[in-house]
Amino acid sequence: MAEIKIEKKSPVWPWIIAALLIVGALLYFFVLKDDNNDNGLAGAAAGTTEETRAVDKRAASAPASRDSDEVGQYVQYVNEHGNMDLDHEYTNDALLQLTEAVRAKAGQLNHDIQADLEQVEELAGQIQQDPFETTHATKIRSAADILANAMANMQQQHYPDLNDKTQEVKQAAGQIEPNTLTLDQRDAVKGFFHKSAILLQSMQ
Amino acid sequence: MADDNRTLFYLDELSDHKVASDYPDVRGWKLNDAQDRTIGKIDDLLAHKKAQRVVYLDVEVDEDLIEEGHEPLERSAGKGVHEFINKDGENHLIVPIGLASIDEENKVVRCDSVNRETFKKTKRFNKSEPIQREYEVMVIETYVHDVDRNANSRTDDSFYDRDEYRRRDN
Repeated sequence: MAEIKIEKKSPVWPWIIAALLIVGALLYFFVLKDDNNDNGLAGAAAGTTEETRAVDKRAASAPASRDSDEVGQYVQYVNEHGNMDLDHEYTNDALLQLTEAVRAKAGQLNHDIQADLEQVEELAGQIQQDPFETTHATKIRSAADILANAMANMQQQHYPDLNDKTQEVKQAAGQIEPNTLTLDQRDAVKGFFHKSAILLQSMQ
Repeated sequence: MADDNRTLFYLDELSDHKVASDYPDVRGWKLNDAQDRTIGKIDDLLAHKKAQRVVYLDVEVDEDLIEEGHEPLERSAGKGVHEFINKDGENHLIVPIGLASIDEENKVVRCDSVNRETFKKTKRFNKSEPIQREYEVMVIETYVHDVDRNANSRTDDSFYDRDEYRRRDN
Protein backbone atom coordinates (compact mmCIF):
# COMPACT_ATOMS: atom_id res chain seq x y z
CA MET A 1 0.00 0.00 0.00
CA ALA A 2 1.41 3.29 -1.08
CA GLU A 3 2.31 6.45 0.69
CA ILE A 4 3.44 9.67 -0.93
CA LYS A 5 4.46 12.61 1.19
CA ILE A 6 4.80 16.17 0.01
CA GLU A 7 7.15 18.89 1.19
CA LYS A 8 7.78 22.55 0.65
CA LYS A 9 10.20 23.41 -2.08
CA SER A 10 13.48 24.95 -0.95
CA PRO A 11 13.64 28.65 -1.69
CA VAL A 12 16.16 29.60 -4.33
CA TRP A 13 17.50 32.76 -2.76
CA PRO A 14 19.75 31.07 -0.14
CA TRP A 15 21.54 29.27 -3.00
CA ILE A 16 21.95 32.56 -4.84
CA ILE A 17 23.43 34.16 -1.75
CA ALA A 18 25.74 31.19 -1.23
CA ALA A 19 26.90 31.41 -4.85
CA LEU A 20 27.56 35.14 -4.46
CA LEU A 21 29.54 34.52 -1.27
CA ILE A 22 31.67 31.89 -3.00
CA VAL A 23 32.34 34.21 -5.94
CA GLY A 24 33.16 37.00 -3.49
CA ALA A 25 35.54 34.75 -1.56
CA LEU A 26 37.32 33.70 -4.76
CA LEU A 27 37.66 37.32 -5.87
CA TYR A 28 38.94 38.26 -2.42
CA PHE A 29 41.63 35.59 -2.45
CA PHE A 30 42.70 36.37 -5.98
CA VAL A 31 42.77 40.10 -5.38
CA LEU A 32 44.53 39.67 -2.04
CA LYS A 33 47.06 37.40 -3.69
CA ASP A 34 47.61 39.96 -6.45
CA ASP A 35 47.95 42.72 -3.85
CA ASN A 36 50.59 40.71 -2.00
CA ASN A 37 52.50 40.22 -5.23
CA ASP A 38 52.19 43.92 -6.02
CA ASN A 39 53.45 44.81 -2.53
CA GLY A 40 56.44 42.56 -3.13
CA LEU A 41 57.26 44.39 -6.33
CA ALA A 42 56.67 47.76 -4.67
CA GLY A 43 59.17 46.76 -2.07
CA ALA A 44 61.71 46.18 -4.78
CA ALA A 45 60.67 49.37 -6.56
CA ALA A 46 61.86 52.91 -5.70
CA GLY A 47 61.25 53.32 -1.99
CA THR A 48 60.52 56.40 0.05
CA THR A 49 63.20 58.61 1.52
CA GLU A 50 62.57 57.11 4.95
CA GLU A 51 62.94 53.65 3.56
CA THR A 52 66.21 54.68 1.90
CA ARG A 53 67.57 56.05 5.19
CA ALA A 54 66.56 52.88 6.94
CA VAL A 55 68.41 50.80 4.40
CA ASP A 56 71.46 53.05 4.78
CA LYS A 57 71.40 52.72 8.57
CA ARG A 58 71.06 49.01 8.34
CA ALA A 59 73.87 48.83 5.84
CA ALA A 60 76.13 51.00 8.03
CA SER A 61 75.61 49.17 11.30
CA ALA A 62 74.93 45.62 10.24
CA PRO A 63 77.56 42.95 10.05
CA ALA A 64 79.06 41.99 6.72
CA SER A 65 76.81 38.98 6.32
CA ARG A 66 73.71 41.22 6.20
CA ASP A 67 75.27 43.62 3.69
CA SER A 68 75.94 40.76 1.36
CA ASP A 69 72.24 39.88 1.42
CA GLU A 70 71.35 42.70 -0.95
CA VAL A 71 74.27 41.84 -3.18
CA GLY A 72 73.37 38.17 -2.99
CA GLN A 73 69.76 38.91 -3.84
CA TYR A 74 70.75 41.03 -6.79
CA VAL A 75 73.20 38.45 -8.13
CA GLN A 76 70.61 35.71 -7.75
CA TYR A 77 67.96 37.81 -9.49
CA VAL A 78 70.22 38.51 -12.47
CA ASN A 79 71.23 34.85 -12.72
CA GLU A 80 67.64 33.65 -12.59
CA HIS A 81 66.41 36.09 -15.21
CA GLY A 82 69.55 36.25 -17.28
CA ASN A 83 68.30 33.78 -19.85
CA MET A 84 64.81 35.21 -20.01
CA ASP A 85 63.63 37.66 -22.58
CA LEU A 86 64.08 41.27 -21.50
CA ASP A 87 61.02 43.22 -20.45
CA HIS A 88 60.47 46.50 -18.66
CA GLU A 89 59.52 44.80 -15.45
CA TYR A 90 62.85 42.99 -15.32
CA THR A 91 64.76 46.14 -16.24
CA ASN A 92 63.06 48.12 -13.51
CA ASP A 93 63.46 45.42 -10.87
CA ALA A 94 67.09 44.78 -11.76
CA LEU A 95 67.90 48.48 -11.62
CA LEU A 96 66.38 48.87 -8.20
CA GLN A 97 67.93 45.71 -6.81
CA LEU A 98 71.31 46.82 -8.15
CA THR A 99 70.78 50.15 -6.43
CA GLU A 100 70.07 48.38 -3.14
CA ALA A 101 73.10 46.17 -3.56
CA VAL A 102 75.36 49.13 -4.28
CA ARG A 103 73.87 51.02 -1.32
CA ALA A 104 74.51 48.04 0.93
CA LYS A 105 78.08 47.76 -0.29
CA ALA A 106 78.62 51.50 0.21
CA GLY A 107 77.26 51.25 3.71
CA GLN A 108 79.61 48.41 4.47
CA LEU A 109 82.55 50.43 3.23
CA ASN A 110 81.30 53.68 4.79
CA HIS A 111 81.28 55.16 1.37
CA ASP A 112 78.95 58.09 0.82
CA ILE A 113 77.14 57.77 -2.46
CA GLN A 114 73.73 58.79 -1.22
CA ALA A 115 73.28 61.57 -3.74
CA ASP A 116 74.18 59.30 -6.63
CA LEU A 117 71.76 56.62 -5.55
CA GLU A 118 68.97 59.12 -5.11
CA GLN A 119 69.52 60.15 -8.70
CA VAL A 120 69.23 56.53 -9.80
CA GLU A 121 66.04 56.04 -7.82
CA GLU A 122 64.62 59.16 -9.35
CA LEU A 123 65.41 57.83 -12.81
CA ALA A 124 63.90 54.43 -11.96
CA GLY A 125 60.72 56.14 -10.78
CA GLN A 126 60.56 58.10 -14.02
CA ILE A 127 60.96 54.96 -16.07
CA GLN A 128 58.11 53.36 -14.17
CA GLN A 129 55.79 56.28 -14.71
CA ASP A 130 56.89 57.18 -18.21
CA PRO A 131 54.53 55.78 -20.79
CA PHE A 132 56.88 56.53 -23.66
CA GLU A 133 59.21 53.64 -24.24
CA THR A 134 61.52 55.76 -26.40
CA THR A 135 62.87 57.59 -23.35
CA HIS A 136 63.48 54.52 -21.25
CA ALA A 137 66.86 53.75 -22.77
CA THR A 138 68.09 57.28 -22.05
CA LYS A 139 67.20 56.98 -18.42
CA ILE A 140 68.57 53.46 -18.12
CA ARG A 141 71.84 54.64 -19.64
CA SER A 142 72.04 57.54 -17.20
CA ALA A 143 71.31 55.26 -14.26
CA ALA A 144 73.85 52.73 -15.48
CA ASP A 145 76.54 55.39 -15.77
CA ILE A 146 75.87 56.65 -12.27
CA LEU A 147 75.93 53.15 -10.80
CA ALA A 148 79.04 52.19 -12.74
CA ASN A 149 80.87 55.28 -11.42
CA ALA A 150 79.72 54.62 -7.89
CA MET A 151 80.96 51.05 -8.02
CA ALA A 152 84.18 52.20 -9.65
CA ASN A 153 84.87 54.67 -6.84
CA MET A 154 84.35 52.01 -4.20
CA GLN A 155 86.42 49.49 -6.10
CA GLN A 156 89.36 51.81 -6.62
CA GLN A 157 89.51 52.72 -2.97
CA HIS A 158 88.93 49.32 -1.46
CA TYR A 159 89.49 46.65 -4.09
CA PRO A 160 92.35 47.83 -6.37
CA ASP A 161 92.73 44.37 -7.89
CA LEU A 162 89.34 44.55 -9.53
CA ASN A 163 90.10 47.28 -12.07
CA ASP A 164 89.39 44.97 -14.98
CA LYS A 165 85.94 44.12 -13.78
CA THR A 166 85.17 47.77 -13.21
CA GLN A 167 86.19 48.55 -16.76
CA GLU A 168 83.90 45.85 -18.03
CA VAL A 169 80.99 47.39 -16.11
CA LYS A 170 81.73 50.84 -17.52
CA GLN A 171 82.02 49.47 -21.04
CA ALA A 172 78.78 47.59 -20.65
CA ALA A 173 77.06 50.77 -19.49
CA GLY A 174 78.52 52.60 -22.47
CA GLN A 175 76.99 50.11 -24.86
CA ILE A 176 73.46 51.08 -23.83
CA GLU A 177 72.40 53.44 -26.59
CA PRO A 178 70.19 56.29 -25.31
CA ASN A 179 68.36 56.68 -28.59
CA THR A 180 67.58 53.04 -29.19
CA LEU A 181 64.56 51.26 -27.74
CA THR A 182 65.48 49.24 -24.69
CA LEU A 183 63.87 46.14 -26.11
CA ASP A 184 66.02 46.49 -29.22
CA GLN A 185 69.22 46.33 -27.18
CA ARG A 186 68.45 43.51 -24.83
CA ASP A 187 71.96 42.15 -24.80
CA ALA A 188 73.49 45.49 -23.87
CA VAL A 189 71.13 46.07 -20.95
CA LYS A 190 71.41 42.51 -19.70
CA GLY A 191 75.14 42.68 -20.18
CA PHE A 192 75.42 45.71 -17.88
CA PHE A 193 73.44 44.01 -15.14
CA HIS A 194 75.48 40.86 -15.52
CA LYS A 195 78.84 42.63 -15.32
CA SER A 196 77.65 44.62 -12.32
CA ALA A 197 76.73 41.39 -10.58
CA ILE A 198 80.19 39.97 -11.21
CA LEU A 199 81.88 43.12 -9.88
CA LEU A 200 79.75 43.31 -6.74
CA GLN A 201 80.20 39.64 -6.04
CA SER A 202 83.95 40.11 -6.37
CA MET A 203 83.92 42.99 -3.90
CA GLN A 204 83.13 40.74 -0.96
CA MET B 1 -12.32 26.61 -4.97
CA ALA B 2 -11.94 29.58 -2.60
CA ASP B 3 -13.04 27.63 0.44
CA ASP B 4 -11.50 28.61 3.76
CA ASN B 5 -12.06 25.15 5.13
CA ARG B 6 -10.47 23.46 2.16
CA THR B 7 -8.07 20.70 3.13
CA LEU B 8 -7.38 19.00 -0.20
CA PHE B 9 -5.22 20.64 -2.83
CA TYR B 10 -4.00 19.47 -6.19
CA LEU B 11 -0.22 19.33 -6.10
CA ASP B 12 -0.14 21.13 -9.45
CA GLU B 13 -1.74 24.15 -7.81
CA LEU B 14 0.65 24.15 -4.82
CA SER B 15 3.51 25.94 -6.53
CA ASP B 16 5.61 25.95 -3.36
CA HIS B 17 5.25 22.20 -2.74
CA LYS B 18 6.60 19.07 -4.38
CA VAL B 19 6.65 15.33 -3.83
CA ALA B 20 9.04 14.68 -0.94
CA SER B 21 12.49 13.62 -1.99
CA ASP B 22 12.30 9.95 -0.98
CA TYR B 23 8.95 9.35 -2.67
CA PRO B 24 8.11 8.78 -6.33
CA ASP B 25 6.21 11.41 -8.29
CA VAL B 26 3.69 9.18 -10.02
CA ARG B 27 2.04 11.89 -12.11
CA GLY B 28 1.90 10.67 -15.68
CA TRP B 29 2.07 6.99 -14.68
CA LYS B 30 -0.59 4.44 -15.60
CA LEU B 31 -3.12 3.20 -13.08
CA ASN B 32 -3.95 -0.50 -13.40
CA ASP B 33 -6.77 -2.48 -11.84
CA ALA B 34 -6.63 -5.77 -9.94
CA GLN B 35 -6.17 -7.66 -13.20
CA ASP B 36 -3.33 -5.32 -14.17
CA ARG B 37 -5.34 -3.71 -16.95
CA THR B 38 -4.88 0.01 -17.41
CA ILE B 39 -7.86 2.09 -16.49
CA GLY B 40 -6.30 5.51 -16.93
CA LYS B 41 -3.40 7.85 -16.30
CA ILE B 42 -2.57 9.61 -13.05
CA ASP B 43 -3.11 13.24 -13.91
CA ASP B 44 -2.48 14.86 -10.54
CA LEU B 45 -2.13 14.18 -6.84
CA LEU B 46 -4.62 15.38 -4.25
CA ALA B 47 -2.80 16.22 -1.06
CA HIS B 48 -3.85 17.00 2.47
CA LYS B 49 -1.79 20.16 2.87
CA LYS B 50 -1.80 20.16 6.66
CA ALA B 51 -0.76 16.52 6.90
CA GLN B 52 1.75 17.01 4.08
CA ARG B 53 0.77 13.80 2.30
CA VAL B 54 -1.13 12.63 -0.72
CA VAL B 55 -4.57 11.13 -0.03
CA TYR B 56 -5.91 10.61 -3.56
CA LEU B 57 -4.61 9.89 -6.99
CA ASP B 58 -6.48 11.99 -9.53
CA VAL B 59 -6.91 9.69 -12.51
CA GLU B 60 -7.91 10.69 -16.01
CA VAL B 61 -9.89 7.68 -17.13
CA ASP B 62 -9.26 6.06 -20.50
CA GLU B 63 -11.89 6.59 -23.17
CA ASP B 64 -12.53 2.89 -23.62
CA LEU B 65 -13.42 2.50 -19.94
CA ILE B 66 -15.87 5.37 -20.27
CA GLU B 67 -17.38 3.71 -23.33
CA GLU B 68 -17.66 0.40 -21.52
CA GLY B 69 -19.43 2.15 -18.69
CA HIS B 70 -22.32 3.23 -20.89
CA GLU B 71 -24.35 0.17 -19.90
CA PRO B 72 -27.72 -0.31 -18.18
CA LEU B 73 -27.68 0.40 -14.44
CA GLU B 74 -26.97 -2.63 -12.34
CA ARG B 75 -28.94 -3.58 -9.33
CA SER B 76 -27.41 -5.88 -6.80
CA ALA B 77 -29.63 -6.99 -3.95
CA GLY B 78 -28.16 -6.40 -0.55
CA LYS B 79 -25.44 -4.16 -1.82
CA GLY B 80 -27.43 -1.07 -2.45
CA VAL B 81 -28.20 0.62 -5.67
CA HIS B 82 -25.53 2.40 -7.61
CA GLU B 83 -27.25 4.91 -9.79
CA PHE B 84 -24.37 7.03 -10.87
CA ILE B 85 -24.68 8.63 -14.21
CA ASN B 86 -21.49 10.16 -15.50
CA LYS B 87 -22.03 13.19 -17.67
CA ASP B 88 -19.95 14.15 -20.66
CA GLY B 89 -16.77 15.82 -19.61
CA GLU B 90 -16.63 13.89 -16.36
CA ASN B 91 -13.55 11.84 -17.08
CA HIS B 92 -11.69 11.97 -13.78
CA LEU B 93 -11.95 9.85 -10.70
CA ILE B 94 -10.08 9.74 -7.45
CA VAL B 95 -8.38 6.69 -5.97
CA PRO B 96 -7.41 6.61 -2.29
CA ILE B 97 -3.66 6.28 -1.92
CA GLY B 98 -4.03 3.44 0.56
CA LEU B 99 -5.65 1.27 -2.12
CA ALA B 100 -2.70 1.71 -4.45
CA SER B 101 0.67 0.05 -4.68
CA ILE B 102 3.52 1.67 -6.56
CA ASP B 103 5.72 -0.25 -8.99
CA GLU B 104 8.65 2.13 -9.43
CA GLU B 105 10.54 -0.16 -11.76
CA ASN B 106 7.73 -0.23 -14.34
CA LYS B 107 6.35 3.19 -13.46
CA VAL B 108 2.89 1.76 -12.84
CA VAL B 109 0.47 2.15 -9.95
CA ARG B 110 -1.84 -0.77 -9.19
CA CYS B 111 -5.11 -1.09 -7.33
CA ASP B 112 -4.95 -4.71 -6.30
CA SER B 113 -8.30 -4.69 -4.56
CA VAL B 114 -10.41 -2.93 -7.18
CA ASN B 115 -11.40 -4.52 -10.45
CA ARG B 116 -12.34 -2.97 -13.75
CA GLU B 117 -16.05 -3.39 -13.19
CA THR B 118 -15.86 -1.35 -10.03
CA PHE B 119 -13.91 1.40 -11.75
CA LYS B 120 -16.52 1.46 -14.51
CA LYS B 121 -19.27 2.03 -11.99
CA THR B 122 -17.39 4.65 -9.96
CA LYS B 123 -18.81 8.15 -10.09
CA ARG B 124 -16.49 10.38 -12.01
CA PHE B 125 -16.09 14.16 -11.84
CA ASN B 126 -15.06 17.06 -13.99
CA LYS B 127 -11.64 18.32 -13.01
CA SER B 128 -12.80 21.92 -13.05
CA GLU B 129 -15.13 21.22 -10.14
CA PRO B 130 -13.95 21.13 -6.56
CA ILE B 131 -13.91 17.84 -4.66
CA GLN B 132 -16.72 17.66 -2.13
CA ARG B 133 -16.68 15.43 0.89
CA GLU B 134 -19.92 13.89 -0.26
CA TYR B 135 -18.19 12.80 -3.43
CA GLU B 136 -15.31 11.35 -1.47
CA VAL B 137 -17.69 9.28 0.64
CA MET B 138 -19.52 8.16 -2.48
CA VAL B 139 -16.32 7.04 -4.16
CA ILE B 140 -15.02 5.23 -1.13
CA GLU B 141 -18.33 3.44 -0.85
CA THR B 142 -17.86 2.20 -4.36
CA TYR B 143 -14.41 0.80 -3.61
CA VAL B 144 -15.22 -0.57 -0.17
CA HIS B 145 -18.57 -1.14 1.39
CA ASP B 146 -18.41 -0.08 5.02
CA VAL B 147 -17.98 3.66 4.89
CA ASP B 148 -19.67 5.65 7.61
CA ARG B 149 -22.14 7.81 5.71
CA ASN B 150 -22.11 10.33 8.54
CA ALA B 151 -18.54 11.27 7.79
CA ASN B 152 -19.70 14.18 5.66
CA SER B 153 -18.24 17.06 7.59
CA ARG B 154 -15.84 18.92 5.38
CA THR B 155 -13.68 19.85 8.35
CA ASP B 156 -13.37 16.32 9.71
CA ASP B 157 -9.72 15.49 9.03
CA SER B 158 -10.03 12.21 10.86
CA PHE B 159 -11.77 10.95 7.71
CA TYR B 160 -8.27 10.45 6.26
CA ASP B 161 -7.20 8.23 9.12
CA ARG B 162 -9.00 5.37 7.44
CA ASP B 163 -6.99 2.49 6.05
CA GLU B 164 -7.87 3.55 2.53
CA TYR B 165 -5.59 6.55 2.96
CA ARG B 166 -2.75 4.92 4.83
CA ARG B 167 0.17 2.72 3.99
CA ARG B 168 -0.10 -0.67 5.61
CA ASP B 169 3.26 -2.27 6.31
CA ASN B 170 3.32 -5.97 5.48
